[in-house]
Amino acid sequence: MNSLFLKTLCSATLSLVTLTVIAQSSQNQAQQVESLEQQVRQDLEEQKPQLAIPLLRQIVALDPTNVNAHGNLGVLLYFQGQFSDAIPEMSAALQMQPDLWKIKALRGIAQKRTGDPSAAESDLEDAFPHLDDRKFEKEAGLELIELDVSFEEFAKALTVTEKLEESSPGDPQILLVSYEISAQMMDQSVVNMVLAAPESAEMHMIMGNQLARQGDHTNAIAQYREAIRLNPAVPGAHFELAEQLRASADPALNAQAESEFRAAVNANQYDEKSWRRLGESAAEKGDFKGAQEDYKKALALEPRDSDAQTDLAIALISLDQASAAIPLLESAVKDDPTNFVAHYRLSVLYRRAGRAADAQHEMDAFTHYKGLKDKMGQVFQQLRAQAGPM
Amino acid sequence: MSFEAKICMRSAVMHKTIKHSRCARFPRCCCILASVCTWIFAQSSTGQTAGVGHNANADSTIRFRDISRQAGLITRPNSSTERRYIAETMGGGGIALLDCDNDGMLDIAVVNDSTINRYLTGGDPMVTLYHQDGSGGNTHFTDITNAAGLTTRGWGMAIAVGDYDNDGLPDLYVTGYGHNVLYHNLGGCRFEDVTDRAGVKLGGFSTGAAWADYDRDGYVDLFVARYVETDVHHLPALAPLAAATSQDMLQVPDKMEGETDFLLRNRGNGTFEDVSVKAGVSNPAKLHGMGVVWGDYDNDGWPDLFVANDGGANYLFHNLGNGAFEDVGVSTGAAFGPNGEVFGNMAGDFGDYDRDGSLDLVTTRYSQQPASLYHNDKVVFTDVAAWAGLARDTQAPVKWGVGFADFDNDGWPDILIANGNFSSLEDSLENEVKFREPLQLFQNIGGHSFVEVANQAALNAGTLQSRRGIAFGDINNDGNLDFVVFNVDGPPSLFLNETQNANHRALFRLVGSKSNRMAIGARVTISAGGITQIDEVRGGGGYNSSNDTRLHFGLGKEAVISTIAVRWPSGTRQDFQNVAADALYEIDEGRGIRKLKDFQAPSDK
Repeated sequence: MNSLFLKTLCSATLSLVTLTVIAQSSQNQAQQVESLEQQVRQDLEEQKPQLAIPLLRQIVALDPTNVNAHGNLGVLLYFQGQFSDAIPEMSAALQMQPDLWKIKALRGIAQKRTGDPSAAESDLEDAFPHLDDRKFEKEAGLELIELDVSFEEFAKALTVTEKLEESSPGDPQILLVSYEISAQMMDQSVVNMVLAAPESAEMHMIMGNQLARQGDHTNAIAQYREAIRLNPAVPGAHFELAEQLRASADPALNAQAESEFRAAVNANQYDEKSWRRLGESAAEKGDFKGAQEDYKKALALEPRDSDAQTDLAIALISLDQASAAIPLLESAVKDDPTNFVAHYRLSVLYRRAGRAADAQHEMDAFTHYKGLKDKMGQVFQQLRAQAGPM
Repeated sequence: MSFEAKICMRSAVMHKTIKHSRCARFPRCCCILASVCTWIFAQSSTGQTAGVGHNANADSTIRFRDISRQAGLITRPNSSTERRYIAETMGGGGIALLDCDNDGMLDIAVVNDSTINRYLTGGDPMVTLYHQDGSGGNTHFTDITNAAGLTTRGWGMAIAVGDYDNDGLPDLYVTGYGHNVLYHNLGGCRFEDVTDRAGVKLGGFSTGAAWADYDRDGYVDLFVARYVETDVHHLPALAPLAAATSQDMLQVPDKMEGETDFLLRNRGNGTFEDVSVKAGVSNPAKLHGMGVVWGDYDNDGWPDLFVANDGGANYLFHNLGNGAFEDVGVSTGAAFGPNGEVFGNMAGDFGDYDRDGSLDLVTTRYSQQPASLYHNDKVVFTDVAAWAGLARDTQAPVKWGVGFADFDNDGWPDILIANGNFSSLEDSLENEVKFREPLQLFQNIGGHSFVEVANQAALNAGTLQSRRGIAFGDINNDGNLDFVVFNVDGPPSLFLNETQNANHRALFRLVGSKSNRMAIGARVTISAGGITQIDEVRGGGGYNSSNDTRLHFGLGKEAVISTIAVRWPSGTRQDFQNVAADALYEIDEGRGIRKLKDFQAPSDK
């Protein structure tokens, strides 16, 4: 009995001593961690991350559940370019607190750098919607776009691009990416079409569009004609053919455009753009009554088409119905403030009506947007000149 | 779609010739690029060419006969049609009708352009003067340039006729590249170069010029527009001819620095003072000035000024009556095309085409840009060219000389336009308008529409020419308006109006006394049969040219003019009643009206 008591007493005493030691150790550990954290803060303030890193390692060794330390260590290692080392630290932090979105995004980028694109995409996809720092959102977004494109997930890439454009409208880097994605999507579509239906009317539509973009109206016309021959009902063919006929330098071809626009609306009475073009044809011939009818049809289909409203207004002015034109032009500039033609026309009508201040306001808007357009035109002229003959 | 992209799409609405490919189902950025690229391509191509339309109007009695050669207009300038540099392509163009010796018969002064080589070795006489010396109903001219003393050499552009010293003899101001010249008329069609003495030599590249008494002090003043800075001693390198395209065949003015304009106030002592800046018409923006014309568009008695600017907003300088002007081109709509387009404007003329008592404006411009007919709505100028029937047929050609003139005497001013491309070298290029283009005559139908009848009127029956300035006047004093037109690298053409109908007409020669002697700026308003017409005496206008200063009015069926009201620049007003038609009258300021000559009674036989 005595030995049992002694054993129990010893155990209890030992436990008590151990507990005391453990309690004292924990207290010491917390103090140590705090002290290390203080030092880390100081090193970071003094822009000495390389000194902070070993300290953070000590912290996580002492306190493996320290989310901050894991996270910070991961981030510092990331920015030192030590991506492989950074990933496990970030993972540890995320394990404990999954909504550390910036950490997740950085982990995604680190995974991208270390050859794990699938994991990278997954992390960035998760994190991106939650990033509220504009600059970092752009950086992460661009990385994600690259991944999406590499996986040929263009639709996803476009979605990310749209979000970036919303956050940073006019950012040239984002606009470039947007352009590149669209170009790649277009190329992909062409490839797919070549593989799927190389002799189809739709293939000829694509070829026609490519040639049209290069300004080769003659061959574009041939392609669209072939598309129509193969399938008279292929959507948009008559309109696109008509556009090329109209753009041609050959007056004989120009004269054929109207009948193609007519064919387009016969094939599809809801073809708003063709109704507009028919209106333009009528106006060019001085048939403003006919133009008015066609423009009205276009507007009935797309009441908020600023160009159609402007065209109808111009036809009404030509029919000496300026008072009816004013509300149309007012609506046109409301629907599209960049419509400088509408601004100009409205300015003239306002001035005629004695509304000098309104006239000046519209003239100022005209000058502003026309100036922008002229500037863009100059840029594209330069691009074209540099590109050389197509 | 970003708003910048939408801005690019605007082109399709502005320019009917601008085409863009709509790609409804393609990603938006390719749509944008396609649109803009196609817009750019369309800029360099002729796009949809309406061509020079030839309509027929069964009711048109207008007929002309080209009597150039038989009339003795045979002096060929030392020029060339193969032009590449800006001084060449824009050189010359001016022509004038004036009575240099007051013998009652109009003479012709035509500006001479030159070539680079000839200019570098001294140039050529800047003007050729043809004196009318026919008799017995025979219209004939003789080149008297040398005898007239018009020997100053250079590179001519425009000619403005005005009596700057009020001695009753028309003087000549000839603009040009490098320098201008003022010729004082000594009488008997002899002239003296008084440029330096008068202080009006200027320099640079002067273009349109016109006289007007802008301050109404009794002496005509002079406005001179200028074009671009260019140095024929240091010409830019152009693409080799064999490889040149429509983009680089010619030196174009688009990016060239412009020059300021001048308003020269007549001191009344034979000298002039530069008041350009003070008056607010100096063109500090250095737009590329072309044709100029004075006209009192707001009927306040003060002459206003229209300046056509190539590739820029036109100026419409409203005379404030205090020595200064205010540019109201933009606010009135006269600066731009109907949709706010900035066009390559060449020239303009004032005329009341719809007889509502206000001067309207017609302008010419570059190829693939329709002429504008600005109706004076009293607050704004509304471009009615599209629905008046002018826009479509004037779309294609390069348009220069222009003017209102009632050729069939029906009381409705018609419009004549002279066309021609810049250089014969462009004939080899695909899709360029031809160097030699038809004249266009738009017959005014009741003041609301126009019909093109040039072919019907036999204006294009002979060899086509590349034309520039036009001058209107009654050359054979038969009461019908004739015209002369500048031909590139050739003698001018003289078209005699042989229209036969039963319409009456009258011609008025105004002589100022308190006002400037030539009555420039005098406004005449006539009423006959309930219709009222207005016109003004001008000292230059259209494209670099000067008309006969006698005012012509077609009267339709009215054989009697009920009232004639003359508003002189001095402020004097004269009224006359019940004046018989079909005669030439002289109206002297403050004195009265007298008949100089009866015309043959109108007949459609």
